[in-house]
Amino acid sequence: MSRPLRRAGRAAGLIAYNLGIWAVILVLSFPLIWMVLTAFKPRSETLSFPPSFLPRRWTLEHFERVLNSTPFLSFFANSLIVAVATTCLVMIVALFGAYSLARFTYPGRRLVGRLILFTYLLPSTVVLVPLYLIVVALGLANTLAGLVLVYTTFALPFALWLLHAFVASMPLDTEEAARVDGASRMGAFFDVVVPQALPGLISTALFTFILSWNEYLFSLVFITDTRTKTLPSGVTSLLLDSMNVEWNMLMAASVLITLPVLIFFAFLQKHLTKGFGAGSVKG
Amino acid sequence: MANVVLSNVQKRFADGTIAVHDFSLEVEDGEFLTFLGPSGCGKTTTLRMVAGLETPSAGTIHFGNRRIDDLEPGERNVAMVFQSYALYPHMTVGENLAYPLRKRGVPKPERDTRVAATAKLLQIEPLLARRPKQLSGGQQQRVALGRAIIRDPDVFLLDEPLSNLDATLRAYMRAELVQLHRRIGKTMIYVTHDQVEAMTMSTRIAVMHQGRLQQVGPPSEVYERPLNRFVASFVGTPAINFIDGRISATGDGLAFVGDGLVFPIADQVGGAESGGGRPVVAGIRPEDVTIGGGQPGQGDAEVLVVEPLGHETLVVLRVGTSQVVARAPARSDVTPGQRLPFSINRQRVHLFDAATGDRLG
Repeated sequence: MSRPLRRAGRAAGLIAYNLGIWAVILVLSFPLIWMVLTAFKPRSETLSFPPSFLPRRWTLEHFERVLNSTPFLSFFANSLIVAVATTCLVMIVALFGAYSLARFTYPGRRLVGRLILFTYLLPSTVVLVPLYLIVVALGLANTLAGLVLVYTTFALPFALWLLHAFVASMPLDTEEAARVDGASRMGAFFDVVVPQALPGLISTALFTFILSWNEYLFSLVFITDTRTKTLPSGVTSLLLDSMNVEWNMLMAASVLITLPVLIFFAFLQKHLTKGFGAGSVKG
Repeated sequence: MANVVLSNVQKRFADGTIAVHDFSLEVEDGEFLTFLGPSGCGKTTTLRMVAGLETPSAGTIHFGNRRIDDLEPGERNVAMVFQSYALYPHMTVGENLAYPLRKRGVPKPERDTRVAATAKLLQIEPLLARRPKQLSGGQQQRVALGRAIIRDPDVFLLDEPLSNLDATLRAYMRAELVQLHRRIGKTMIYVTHDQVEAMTMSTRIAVMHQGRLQQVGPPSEVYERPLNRFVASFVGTPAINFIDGRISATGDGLAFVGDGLVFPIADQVGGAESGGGRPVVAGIRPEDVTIGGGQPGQGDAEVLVVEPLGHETLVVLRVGTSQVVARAPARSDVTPGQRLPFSINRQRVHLFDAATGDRLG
């Protein structure tokens, strides 16, 4: 084959490949796009037939109503408190736990590692009732602290597993060098291990934050007081009942719920891929 | 003041493996001592015990009069250069150099001065703002050395620091390290499996094998008078030739009677106490085998392989059923298949007990 023909063939292949990828992206993101567009449509247009793709008239009235005439901001604050507190708690416990699993030798270490992964495999509905009983026994029913505790039990196994792979893949030499250079074990941990584990820490934190931010089932069961409800359960119980669905407001609220996560992702995406790749790189 | 004394040091790991057996050695102040041995011989474990990165299972380690084996690594005032260099990847070269000073509470102005002086000494001034991964292997090596010398430690510990460099750079850095040692005059303990490094750089060499110290001495002594068969085989390139044989009593005294080789040995084994008929191994360095010499007692051998190296030629001979390597001048007119007379310098033959491997005489 001549060179120009070969080049043309390669270009056509590249175009087809890109078109394929964009088609998949479009299909996957269509619900999101529909959510955003519906949020900006007037109520009359939402269920009209044939449906309009782009709003004929763009409006912010649903956002205004969500923010001004519902406890959305209170839910938002609750969600933020729960997500940030869970993330902090999980990160502290997981970082030290992962370091211990990766660096120290003690009886039962491998068993602990496997059990942690096993707990991650348990479906959340299985532990719903036992956890509820524990939370009630602790006097934490209907409190944000109770939710933080429950979310920590979910996020911790995965966080530990992810960070363990990360710490284990880090060379021991730099840590030892720091100790010879005058750092204590803890000093070497903070000076050398933590900075090197940063991509893993960021991806783990992001994972934990999103898990807590989006969690619906436990928040629905554990919290009945509107003052302590978080966004997913709060918004749905407010705007979605068996008789009436406020589609536009629900979509506007969904856009507002998605926004923080999207912003987080945009900034931290690079670290996220690096973090999830940890452990698999070393062969 | 910083002589290092290891007394009956042992290291047993959790799985029961004994990496170092009853190791006793005194490293003199200002000495360049090399632990030499193959992989798994315990040399790095011994170094790590001196550094404080491993705890001895038994025995003591002293720096001068100070017992240090129960101190944290940071309290021992040692500096270590790792095989991987172990530079902190998230810090610049300057920050890497300053780290040991920062950990010792040296004020910033003094830190900056010392970083600048060290960078100048090692000619890495233009690299101070770079990260380790932006440096070549040789540059990383210099930074690792810089981080070691910047805080004026009592003892330097170097764990195969040249093994990741290419051959040319390795030869260059060998000379640099020797000069550096001369300039700063501190005790250095160097670990390597490369006998050329050990021979060219050390004041003394400690040869280790299977966790045990085999011989300690200046390079020439280790080469000229190996205390056992292992040391003889490990030190020297090309490797020493071994020929199995027996000690036999002849009319003129004792003789080595080996496969295709017979020579008198009274000088080596010091008389009749070695006994007749005793199985021994003769160790003959390639430079002690001469091809084409007319000395009596040896004979003819077939040339199997000729390896011209430029500055010299290695000739592999068949002597009896054994192969013997001989060193010949660069432009030797030798071809494979030839039969040539050869002779050995019997004054320089090493005899080892066949059973124990220990030196005789």
